[in-house]
Amino acid sequence: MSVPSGQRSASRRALLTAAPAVLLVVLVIGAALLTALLQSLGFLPVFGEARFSTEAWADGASLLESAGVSLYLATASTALALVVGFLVAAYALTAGRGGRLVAALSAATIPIPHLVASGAIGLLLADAGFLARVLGMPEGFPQLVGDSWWAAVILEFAWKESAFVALVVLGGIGRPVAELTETAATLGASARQRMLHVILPLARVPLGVAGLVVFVYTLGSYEAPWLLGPVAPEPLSVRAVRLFGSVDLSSRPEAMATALTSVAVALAVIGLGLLLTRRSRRRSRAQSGVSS
Amino acid sequence: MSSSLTFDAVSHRFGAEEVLRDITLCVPESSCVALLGASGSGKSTLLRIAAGLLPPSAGQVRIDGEDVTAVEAEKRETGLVFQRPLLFPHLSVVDNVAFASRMAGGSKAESRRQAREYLELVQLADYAQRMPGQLSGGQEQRVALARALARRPRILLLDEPFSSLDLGLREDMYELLETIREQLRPTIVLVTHDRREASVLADTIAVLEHGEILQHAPVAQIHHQPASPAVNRILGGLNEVLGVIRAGVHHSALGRITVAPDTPDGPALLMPRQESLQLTGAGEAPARGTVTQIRPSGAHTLVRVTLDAAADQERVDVAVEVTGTPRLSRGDTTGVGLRGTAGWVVPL
Ligand SMILES: Nc1ncnc2c1ncn2[C@@H]1O[C@H](COP(=O)(O)OP(=O)(O)OP(=O)(O)O)[C@@H](O)[C@H]1O
Ligand SMILES: [Mg+2]
Repeated sequence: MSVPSGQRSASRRALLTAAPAVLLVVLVIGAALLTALLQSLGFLPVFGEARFSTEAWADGASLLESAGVSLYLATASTALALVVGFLVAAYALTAGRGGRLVAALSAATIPIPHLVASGAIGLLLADAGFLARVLGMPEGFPQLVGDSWWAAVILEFAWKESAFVALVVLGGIGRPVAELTETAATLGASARQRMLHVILPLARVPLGVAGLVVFVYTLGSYEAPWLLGPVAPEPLSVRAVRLFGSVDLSSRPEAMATALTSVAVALAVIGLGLLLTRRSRRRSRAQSGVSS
Repeated sequence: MSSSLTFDAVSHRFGAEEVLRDITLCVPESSCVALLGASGSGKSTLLRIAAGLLPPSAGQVRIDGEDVTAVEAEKRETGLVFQRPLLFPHLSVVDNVAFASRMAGGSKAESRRQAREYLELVQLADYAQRMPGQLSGGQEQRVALARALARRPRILLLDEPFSSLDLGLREDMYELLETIREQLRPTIVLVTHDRREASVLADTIAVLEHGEILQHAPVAQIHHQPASPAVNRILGGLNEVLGVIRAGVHHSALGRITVAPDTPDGPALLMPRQESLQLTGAGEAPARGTVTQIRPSGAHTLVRVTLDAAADQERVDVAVEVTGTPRLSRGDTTGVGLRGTAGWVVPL
């Protein structure tokens, strides 16, 4: 396929305009990653002599365990946030005034910092927390904070991020969908069918994008697991922050190794996500019979 | 499979604004009623109420005499085609048309087979596999029509479905609607602001203005016997001649014109359509006047004449539609007469 020269020069110009920004991002992130890598290999010690060492990476079992916990947390939180966020968006689109109220309430949670939200969830769900007291069952109340399933952490992430998901979905599909759901209603589709057969397929792309963002964010965020999770095992984010803030300055390389593992997991997931979206786009194009 | 539709004293308000006022209208089984009105007169609102997308503030909607006001849109068995096609962008043409059957629990294969029949009806069978974005506007609108028909609605509601199409396509759609009426005999409510479209497609026309029905009558009758000057104007009538009725005869600058014998004496407006008037030689005519404007429009010409009035009469301008181009120019004197014998008046 040949590209017309006008188009080629236009795309070159677009590339040139974007270049300064891209360069800056690549420089900053590249430098940070390189520093982290060097430090994890013992080249940039806080004190003492630079010396190559893979010691920081030696405790592979513990790194892997942390990675596993992080993956579990991010996956569960993202899945729950996607479901709740989609339901909120669908309700906002179809339920008129009541729906707009729900959307506004959900959007109002976005500026609350995760630290504050985690604290609130802790006060609400802890063994001696608000809910347990209100329900009058300090004994029988399930352990949600600091439990081995990380329930409170996942709930906190899902609550906060579902608002973000709802906002992205609403922005991504918006008003035309309200008209399409009305059309579906006149064609005999029940409320549930309208949600599954009209809103969900149209929200697939915004859901995918929001899901990737939420996943990467929850992977790197440490406040909620640090406040609401059990002491051990640690997810990567908590481990990295603990090691980085440790009084023992020699644990700095290990902190860097942990952070780099987290980056690697995030990059792998982003790559997988992009691959999946591209494939689904290609499939839908093939379905519609367009050759490209 | 068709049913009658009745609006019984339906009113609707958006906040403080009363959009529909006490609408009572009956659409008999298998007939086509056109709702004709200017933009903002409440046509779409009435249709949305009929489809169950909007609960009316007051009044009832009845299908075959049964009150369906509280029945939700998905259970109401009405098909609605909007001004824009609103095809589902994630479904192919055939799956758009198969949508209603799928939602009703039909299998994929059977739903698609039925959908193809409706696509054939709108002559788009060859386009079944395309996505909506790959159709022209007229094709999309035809798919939307097929999709609504595939639900086999008892009542088909059309909200200005052809207004975005060019003239040629619109004629094609009129043909298509004719075919559909012959083959499926649905009850149709057609919303339009185009009086020609209303006249071509409908059996009766209901004129809506500011949320009220001014008149509902068969097409020819509403043109020639409008209930008020407003209806006359909405249907394109250009003439209102003020005069006096005495013993069943209207006296005005247009001469003496016989009207219905039971018309009470007194002042009355005569409303002859421009198509019902003719120009005659100045000598023999009962009414004469001066040509003030000649406006050609294709095969017809509209001639405006200021009639000579007696001392006790109002000055009157009338418009006369003439076939072809008349041999007249501004300032000429001409006679004007009514084709036929009886006139239509509205007492003042
Ligand atoms: N959702 C709404 N909220 C408030 N006012 C509305 C709403 N929908 C319609 N209206 C008002 O109701 C009136 C009638 O609207 P409607 O859409 O029924 O007009 P229409 O006759 O279909 O006009 P058009 O020919 O332009 O489509 C208008 O004045 C409009 O502003
Ligand atoms: Mg309208």
